[in-house]
Amino acid sequence: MRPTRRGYTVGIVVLGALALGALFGARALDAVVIPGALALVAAAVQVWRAPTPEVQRTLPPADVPGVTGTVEVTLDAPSSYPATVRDRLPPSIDSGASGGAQAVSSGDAGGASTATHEAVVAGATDADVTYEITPQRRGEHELGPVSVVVTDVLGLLKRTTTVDERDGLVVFPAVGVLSEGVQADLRTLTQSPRANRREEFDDLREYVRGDALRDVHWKSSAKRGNLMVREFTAEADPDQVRVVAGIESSRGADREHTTASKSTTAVGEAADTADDAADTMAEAAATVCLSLLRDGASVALTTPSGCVEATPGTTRPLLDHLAVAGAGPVPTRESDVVVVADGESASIRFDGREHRFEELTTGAGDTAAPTAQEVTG
Amino acid sequence: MSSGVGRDAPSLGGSQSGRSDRSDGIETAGFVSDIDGSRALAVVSLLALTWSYAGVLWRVTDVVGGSTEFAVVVAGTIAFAVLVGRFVGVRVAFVVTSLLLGLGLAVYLFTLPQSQIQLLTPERALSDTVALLTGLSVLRLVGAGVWAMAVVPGPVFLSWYLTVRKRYVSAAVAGGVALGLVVLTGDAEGVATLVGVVGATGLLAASTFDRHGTAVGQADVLTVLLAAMIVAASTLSVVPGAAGSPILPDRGAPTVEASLVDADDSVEIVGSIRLSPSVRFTVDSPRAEYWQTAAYDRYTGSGWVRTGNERPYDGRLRGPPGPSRRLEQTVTAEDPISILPAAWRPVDLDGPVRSSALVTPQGNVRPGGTLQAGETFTVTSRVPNATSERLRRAGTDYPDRVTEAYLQLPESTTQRVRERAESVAGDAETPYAKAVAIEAHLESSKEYSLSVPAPSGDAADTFLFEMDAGYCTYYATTMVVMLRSQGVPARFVTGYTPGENVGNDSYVVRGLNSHAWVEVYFPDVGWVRFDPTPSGPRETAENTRLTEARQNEEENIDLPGPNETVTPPPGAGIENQTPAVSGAPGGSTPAGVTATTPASATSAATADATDTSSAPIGGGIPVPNLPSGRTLLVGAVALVGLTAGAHRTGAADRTVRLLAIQYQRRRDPEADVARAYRRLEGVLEREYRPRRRGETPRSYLQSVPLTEQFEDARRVGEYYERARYGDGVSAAEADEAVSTVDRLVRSSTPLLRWFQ
Repeated sequence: MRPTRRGYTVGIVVLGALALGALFGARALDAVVIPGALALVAAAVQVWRAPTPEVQRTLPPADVPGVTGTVEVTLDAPSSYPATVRDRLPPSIDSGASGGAQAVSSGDAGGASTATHEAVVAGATDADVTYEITPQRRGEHELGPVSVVVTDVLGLLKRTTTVDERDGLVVFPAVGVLSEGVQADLRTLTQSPRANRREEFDDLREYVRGDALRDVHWKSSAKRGNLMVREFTAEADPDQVRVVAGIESSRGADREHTTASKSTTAVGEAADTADDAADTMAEAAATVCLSLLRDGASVALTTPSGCVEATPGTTRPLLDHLAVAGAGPVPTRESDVVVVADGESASIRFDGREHRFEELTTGAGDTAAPTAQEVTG
Repeated sequence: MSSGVGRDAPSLGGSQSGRSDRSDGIETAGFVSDIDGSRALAVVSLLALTWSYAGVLWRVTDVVGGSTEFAVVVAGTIAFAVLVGRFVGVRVAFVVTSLLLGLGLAVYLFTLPQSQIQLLTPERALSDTVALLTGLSVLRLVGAGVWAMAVVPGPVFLSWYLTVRKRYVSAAVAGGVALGLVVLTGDAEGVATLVGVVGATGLLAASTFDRHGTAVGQADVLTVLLAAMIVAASTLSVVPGAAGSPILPDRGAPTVEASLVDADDSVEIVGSIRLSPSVRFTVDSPRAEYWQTAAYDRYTGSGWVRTGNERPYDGRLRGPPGPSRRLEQTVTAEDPISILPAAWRPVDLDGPVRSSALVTPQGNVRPGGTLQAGETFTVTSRVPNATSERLRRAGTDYPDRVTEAYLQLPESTTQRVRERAESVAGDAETPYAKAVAIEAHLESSKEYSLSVPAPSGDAADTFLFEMDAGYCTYYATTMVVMLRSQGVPARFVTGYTPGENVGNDSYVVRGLNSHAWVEVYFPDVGWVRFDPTPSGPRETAENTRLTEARQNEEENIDLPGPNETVTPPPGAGIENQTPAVSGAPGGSTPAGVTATTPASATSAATADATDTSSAPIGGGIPVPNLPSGRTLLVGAVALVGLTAGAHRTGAADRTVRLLAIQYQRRRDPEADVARAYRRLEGVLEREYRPRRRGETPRSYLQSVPLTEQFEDARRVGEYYERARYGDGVSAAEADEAVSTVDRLVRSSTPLLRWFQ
């Protein structure tokens, strides 16, 4: 329990009045000293008796960076008292000033900020504190712990209680929209995957109704006299496109890293560059994968952090994976689509061609960023 | 300001109701239109705070003139602040405040008389400020009215501006500084101070409410707190230092004792007083005189204040302009005293006190410190002895310095006082005749008494119209007020009557000899004494007290030696210059004016202490501190606080619920049993726990521990189930259930449980 600035002032006034009364006559100083002292005592009782509230946090649905969502913190305690709620936010999340939040740089942990809100912890009804956040990066961000600064009705004393309530907020990589041409190219990829998939061929069997005509093996059919269709290995999904993503080690971050590794700032910058590259990779991969999924294909994605599969309609695991996927070299070259990122940009290779990612998109993926800048600035 | 957040954080992310106006309230909505709970509280609180210090300063202007202008200035400043508040930034507002203060200071200096400006040096200004902050009343300033008007706009503007800007804490600070100033000068009384402090507290709470959006939720806590403050501050006293006085300039390094002792710059008119028989000093003088110690020029309605700064004594003083007679007195202190009693008008001083003595603007001499018992000094006076014929011819050609200071009356002086003065003295042609007429009127129309209630309003008005009796302070005060209302310069004088003549031209002066009388100014003559107090009853009271003290063998009432036996007719030696005082035998006279007496040292005549605790000498006034009206008010406040506290703790709820289950009206068996069961739940809720939602009555009752008290509770539950879901209950069973519950309710009710 500590006095606030107000509390110190009241204390000084009380002591000063007492001293002046003792030295130069009581005058009406009793009417200053007694209420002042009483206010401090009452403040101590209020702050001391205030129960620690139960805290629950409701996060906004996962979304891409730059999208502002509302966090709701519910405080529940048997009796009501005024309190200031501070929610710790990781550096990559901005709290929206428009919602009344005050983002205060706490100075530790690399610019982590806190969202500070005055609220009253209510007894009968739950008190809700809402504030807006705008994540600036993909990833899984941890919010919390919450510190509740209990104060008295006059704000003379305060006591800080930390409630270890943490929640992870998943932020997907930004997804761009591919230009029409590239989308068409990718579509052909999904519709004629055979060329790249001979190794999955398993067996031939007779045609039964319902088989896709494109699976008919015309050569054998002609030989046998009835329609034969190709049979693929059981695991293989005929429409699955394999996407692999990674970072080109020959350019960008690593080279800089080796030349300037002596200085710690350079290391930090290099780490940042690696993060940036990973973000670029994730964004490009997400754009490509979602474009494929929209076209009805399934996607098997391999990143330096692991593998994930997605089918149209169930894209969440893929996005979750890409939200946290880290930097690393391209795991394998054996793939339909290869997404390669370096510090600034990414390129996509398929069908033996390489496209710069920036040329592929119509820029929709970047539109959110300036808005976010405005909000935080 | 409590957290580390920006001060004027727009705040409030929460979803509380009553938070309709956010930070944009100032821009989008007017000051009046967006009143919410916290703002209403802030405005009311600020009104209280402003009233407290502006009211004190208004009193000052009421005494010295200009109260209407003062009220206009305050109201105008508030209006200006409210108007400007919405458009002007904080920095500009601070500049405006500084300008207002600077302008006020300039006006104050401009209106000061030339003589005071010459005295004004930076050191002097500093020491005057220190004197003010250590208890020098604003009323003692020469330009008190202008000073009050100069000081008030700054804090009023700033606090109202800041309230419009919703910066309630800063507003409380701005108003609090002004309140602190008038509290430190001693001009604010307890009630006004308390109102101001409560106002400042309200502003702090308004800030919390506004910030946390909790207008209603914490109102009960605030109510309890404010009620506790009011009750505690009206009943307790914790500040030590009952007696004290300001650190005044020109006191030549006063000792602590001296600064505590000489509290004779003002006189409060109080109620009942006692007489102290202790010997203060002895005077060796060829003639008996009134030994004057102080003269007062400014009447406040409830007392007297001496204005202006003292200057060091530097040799001979001017005598009266008219004819006078030399009188040399040697005074020996018998008790520590911090006065230099001398017959009017002292012109020369000799003795150790000479070097440190001071001269008041009124012409009295005062010691720089305290005279210890045995210390002695000689003072030469020139006593005016103009004949009454000369006084009649004196005319009304008063010097400016006299009319400026000695015709002052509070603006609140009632019309009936002026009318009475007019009817008594209006026909008299000369000032002298007026003085004699008023003196005679007071002497004849009022009784002499020491036990009187303290006047509630203006002392002169109260004495003239509501009191039948009083003592010298009342007589003298009323006479001065009446004279001034008739345009005759007069002043209030304190000192001692000649005392007991013990032979050899020696007079023993006791505390009970302290007295107050009147001096009237006559052109080319000077100040002439009038004493409107009837002398006969006064002497009787004093002699009675002295005899009683001797019988009780109190200490320090007689000097060692044979003087007890000598009891000459009091006042025998007085030679009166004016017929006015001819009927006043000096003798031992009751003290209307008694001194504050700190435990260590005493001064005698003059300032009357309001402090009654253990004043062994000369002190006075064991009058109840709280008039019954105020006691009732405090009681009501306490009640409100208790109610709010009960609401806060839920005691009120519990009490209401307990009252609701006390009794049940009988209808039919089924309804009776159902009602009895609900009352049973009420009892169990108090004694055990409430029934949980979804819990059946049966399992609830089964969970109740089977104590002796509740063994019948389950039977009530059975009857309830049968009445509700089964085949009903008989009247006898219903009776049983009801009487069981009656018993349980009674045993759960405080007080009632002792009567079963």
